[in-house]
Amino acid sequence: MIAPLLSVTGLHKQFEQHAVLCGVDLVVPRGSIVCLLGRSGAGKSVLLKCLAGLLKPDSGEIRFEGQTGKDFRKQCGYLFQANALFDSLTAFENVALPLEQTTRLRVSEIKEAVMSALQNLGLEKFANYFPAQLSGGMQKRLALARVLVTRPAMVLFDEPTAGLDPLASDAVFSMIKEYREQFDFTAVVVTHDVGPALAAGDRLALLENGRIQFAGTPAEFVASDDSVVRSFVNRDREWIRIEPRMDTNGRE
Amino acid sequence: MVQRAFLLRWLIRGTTSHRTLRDGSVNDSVPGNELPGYDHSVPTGRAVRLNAPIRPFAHSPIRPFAVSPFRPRPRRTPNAERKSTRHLPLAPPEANEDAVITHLLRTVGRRSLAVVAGLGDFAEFVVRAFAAVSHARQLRRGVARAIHQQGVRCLLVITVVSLFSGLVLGLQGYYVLARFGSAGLLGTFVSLTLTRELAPVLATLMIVGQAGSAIAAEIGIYRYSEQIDALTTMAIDPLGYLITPRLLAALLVFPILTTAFVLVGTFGGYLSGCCLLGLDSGVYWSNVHSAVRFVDVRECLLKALVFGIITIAICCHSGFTAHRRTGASGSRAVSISTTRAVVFSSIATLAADYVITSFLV
Repeated sequence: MIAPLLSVTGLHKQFEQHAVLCGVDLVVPRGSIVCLLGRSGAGKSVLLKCLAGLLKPDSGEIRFEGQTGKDFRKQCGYLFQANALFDSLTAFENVALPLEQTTRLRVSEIKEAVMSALQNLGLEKFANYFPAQLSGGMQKRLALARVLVTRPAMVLFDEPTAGLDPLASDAVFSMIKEYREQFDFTAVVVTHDVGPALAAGDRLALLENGRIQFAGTPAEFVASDDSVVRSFVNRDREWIRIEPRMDTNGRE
Repeated sequence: MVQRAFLLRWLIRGTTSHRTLRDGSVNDSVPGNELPGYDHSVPTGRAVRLNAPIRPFAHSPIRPFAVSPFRPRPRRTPNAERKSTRHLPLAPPEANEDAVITHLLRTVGRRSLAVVAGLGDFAEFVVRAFAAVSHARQLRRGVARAIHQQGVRCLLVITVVSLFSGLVLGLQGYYVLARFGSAGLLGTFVSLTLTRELAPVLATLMIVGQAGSAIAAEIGIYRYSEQIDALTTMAIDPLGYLITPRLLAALLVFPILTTAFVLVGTFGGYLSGCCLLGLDSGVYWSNVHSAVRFVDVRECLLKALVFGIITIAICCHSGFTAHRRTGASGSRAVSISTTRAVVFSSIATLAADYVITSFLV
C-alpha cells in the first residue's frame, strides 16, 4: 500500500475553555480529493489551519509524507475563504510574489510562469488589474493561480464555494478536479455543499463534535447508516421533493 | 419694574398661573386653576396650597441643582436585599482588609506581568525582524518603497514644520536675548536648540504622524484581511517581507530628515532674525558655524537613529498584533492599534530623548 501523503492522528485544539478539535484522525491519500464536510462551527477551518501550520495544535501528530515535524509549507498551498489576495499588488504581482520570494528563478522565468498560470485560469487579460477590480469568481481563480504557480503537492481549500450560487460552486469543484489532473496535486476541500462534494470528491470526511464522524468514499457516504451522515445526504433530496406551494388564490 | 415683577412672578410660578407674555406685561400673578388662555402650572381642578414652599427653577429649563435643595428628599426605603442582609453579622475587619490587599496586589501583578510580557514580545519582534535580513528576498525593492513612504512623502511636512520652527525660534530667541543685550548670539541659540533637541524630536513626531500611522493601519489591515496568514502559507516570512524593509528604511530616513530639519530650521531663524529683525547676517552665520560642534551633530544623528528604530518598530508591532487586541476586532481594532501606535511612539520618543540626553550631556 502506498503511504498516504498526509495523516493526522489524535489532533486536539482548544480555544480558552472551548474545545474545537477533540482527537481528529484523518488520512489523505496521495493524488486524491478529500472533501471535509461538517456543520458551521464544527471546526473544519480550524483543522485546515492546523494542517497549514497557521494554528498550533495542542496535541496530536501530523505526518506529511510519513514524517513529522517536517516543514511542508513550501509543498502546500492554501486557498483562503476570502481569497486573501494582496490588495495593493496587481494580479500579475500577486501570482509572482511566491516565486519571487521563495525561489531563485530569473525575472524572465518568473514572468513566463506567471503568465502561463494566468492563461490556464483565463486571467491573462487581467494581469495588470488590482484584485478589487475583479469579480468574485475571478478573484477566486486568481487566488488559485497564486497557489498553483508554485506547483504544490497538496492544496488546502477553505470553503471555496462559500457565497457562490449552485452553478458557480459546481464550476469550482469541476475546476478543482480539472486542475488536479493537470497539475497533479492532492486536495483537501472544506465545504458545505454535499452534492458537488459527492460528485467531485474521491473521499469524504464528516467532522462532528470535534471528531471525524465518518470517513470513506462517496458511495459509502451515501450508503452509511450514521444519523448525522443521513441528515447530510437526505437534506438535498428533501429539498427536491418539496412540491410547489399554492397561495391563497390557488396560484403556484 | 416690569422686569422685576416678571422675575418675581417667575420665581413663584410653582403655585400660580399667569398670563403668557404674548398677552403683554401683567403686573400681578393670578392665582387660580381654570382661567382660559393661561399657562397652568397647577393642574386644573387641584386646590392651590397657599402655604406651599416656593420652588424656584422648578419649571425652568435651567436646572442649577441636580436635586433641588428646596424640595424635600423622599425617604429612601430599604430594599429587600438590604433588609435581608442587615441582620447578618459583618465580616471581621481584618478579613476584609486582606481581601482588599489581595485584590489590589492581584490587579497590580496582572497589569505588571502584561506590561513585561508586552515588552518582551516587542523586543523579540524587533530582534526577529532584524534577523530576517539574512533570509529576506528582494530587500532592496522593499526598502526603496519604505523610503518613499517614510522619507519622500514626509519631506514637505518636515520642510514646512522646520521652517516655521526656525522662524519662531528666531523671533523668541531675539527678544529673549535682547533683554540681556546679547541678541548677536541668536545664531548660536537657534542652531544649538535645533541640533541638540528640537530637530530630532519634532522630525520624529512629524514622521510618526504622517508615515507611522499609515504603517500601523496598513499592517493592521494586512492582518485582518488574512494577507499575513497568506504569506505564512506561502512559506514567506511576514517579518522579512513587511517589517524588515521598513526598519531598514527608518535607519536611513530619520537621520536624513532630521538633518534637513536642522538646515531649514536654521535658515528660518536667519529669516526672522536677520531679514525681519535686522540682525547682521554675518554675525548670525558665524555664530552658527562656531557653535555647532561635532558632538552636537553626533547627538542629533544618534537621537534620530534611535527614535527612528523605536517609533517605526512600535508602529509595525502595533499593526502586526492588531488581532491580539482584546475587546475589539476588525476595523475597530485597526483604528485602535493605529491610535496606540502614534501615542506610544510619541511617548517613547520623548522618554528616549530624556534618557539619551541625560547620558550624553
